[in-house]
Amino acid sequence: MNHLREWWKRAAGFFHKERRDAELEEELASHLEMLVEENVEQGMGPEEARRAARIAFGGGEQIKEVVREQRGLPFLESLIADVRFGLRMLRKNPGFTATAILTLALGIGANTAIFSAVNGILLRPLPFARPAQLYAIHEFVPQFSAFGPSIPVNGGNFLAWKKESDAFSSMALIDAEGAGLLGMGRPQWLYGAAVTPGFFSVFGVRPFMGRAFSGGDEPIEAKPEIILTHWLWREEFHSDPNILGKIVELGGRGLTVVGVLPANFGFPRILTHDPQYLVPFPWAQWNSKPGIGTHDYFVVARLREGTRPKQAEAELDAIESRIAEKDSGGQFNLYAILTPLKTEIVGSTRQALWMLTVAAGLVLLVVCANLANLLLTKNSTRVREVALRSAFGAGRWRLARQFFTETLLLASAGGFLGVIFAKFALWRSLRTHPLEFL
Amino acid sequence: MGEKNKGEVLQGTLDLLVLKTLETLGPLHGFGIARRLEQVSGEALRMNQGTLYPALVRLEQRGWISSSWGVSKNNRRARFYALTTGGKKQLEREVRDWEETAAIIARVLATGKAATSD
Repeated sequence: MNHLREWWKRAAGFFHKERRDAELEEELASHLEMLVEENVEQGMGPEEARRAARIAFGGGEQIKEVVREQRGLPFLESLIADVRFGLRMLRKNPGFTATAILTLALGIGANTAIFSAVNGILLRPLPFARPAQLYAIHEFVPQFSAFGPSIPVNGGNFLAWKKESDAFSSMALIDAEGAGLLGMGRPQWLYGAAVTPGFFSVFGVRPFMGRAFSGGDEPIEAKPEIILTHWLWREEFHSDPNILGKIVELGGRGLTVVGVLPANFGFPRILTHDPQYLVPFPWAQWNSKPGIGTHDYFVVARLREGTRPKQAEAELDAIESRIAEKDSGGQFNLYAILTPLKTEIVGSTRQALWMLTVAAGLVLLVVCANLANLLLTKNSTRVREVALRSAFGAGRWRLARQFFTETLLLASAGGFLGVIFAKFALWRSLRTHPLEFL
Repeated sequence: MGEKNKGEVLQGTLDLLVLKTLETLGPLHGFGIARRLEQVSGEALRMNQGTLYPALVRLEQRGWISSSWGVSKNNRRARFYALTTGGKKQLEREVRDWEETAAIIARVLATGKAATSD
């Protein structure tokens, strides 16, 4: 308990040092004088008395030092002294300091920026509910393998999967589209996506205003409806609170606005252009028949709880082989391929990002080696200073701490500046290439 | 028992000795405390000011003594230290502990002697 009080008093003793020092000085002087008086009373001459008293008393400076240690927070105080001294040293060598801080800032800034990108793109999970359950589905016909490792999905096959497979809790067919927007001042070209109603269940999103597309599994004709993304609603329609029910002239059709998506929904990056609006999927005779051919669309699906992706793939493959048999009589084979949605989105960038990370890491290593070199050169001129301090009684740790402190000051400044660089770099590049994940 | 051991004993019990001195003699300045300790111990405890003054600061930090500026009997300005109520209690506690420790050690030594004298 009293130990606590002692430390509390020590903290208090950290302040008003000059006053306490002066008082201690006076107290010790008074003690010495009393010693002198005593010696004189015992018969010594004044000179001798004083000398004897001095010897008996001991070294005033040492006594003051020991008292100071008891009084304040000696560790903190010497640390502050180190920092002050370090700052003075750095100020005296502006060229060196500036070079060191700048190189550190560049190295640290590059790494920070790249890691932020890697984190946002590769490491963070997709910003949807239960993102691990989301998969993209492609098809594969070995006989068409010249077209690539997979091909898009046939609309009729999608319908067959929906009807005959239980492996997914929701599935959606997506087609990219674009059209000209008229009637809102100057005409503008917008990119959009045509989606089946399952889209909203797959991504767990609902328009915050209005409703989603209605409907189920039937390939019915698309109603003339449109759902706006939050961005479009804000930019083109000026956040009109009465937008629902209004008619939008898009691509020569009049579409009724039935909903607006929430601001925090980012359409996954699977199309060439991020869509700014959604319309119902345009089913027709030619794209609703299962078979091999007319592979035009994207499929995103949410795996049912408890089902493993291999299971689901096997189920789909079974359906696919039946379709292939029926359509081509065994001439062609048809398979389904499941890819985690995250891989689908970032896959191509993964390698590039990791390479960048390694490159940045190497740059940082070079920066560190460079800095070590600079410091060694710089500090070789301080041999005398070290010798002097050592003669005054500074232990090795105390001496080392001084240099650690200076390096720490450099590193802090470099790091701080580096983070600012990184923020700036990210901000600039994001303005031209927005990434919804960052 | 060499010089070194006496110093170590002193370190641990200096608090006790200072508190006792202040209890016996009342408020006293640093010089007076040092003198008293040297007298009473028969010059066996040569007081090093580098030990005494930090100890006084520590005792004050712990609230067992208080200090104020006053005038010595030779009309000299000096800092006087006095025992607080908390300090009195602490003194009682430490005296008790010391006597208990001494008793235990004495007992152990006595039995040792008895055993070896057989």
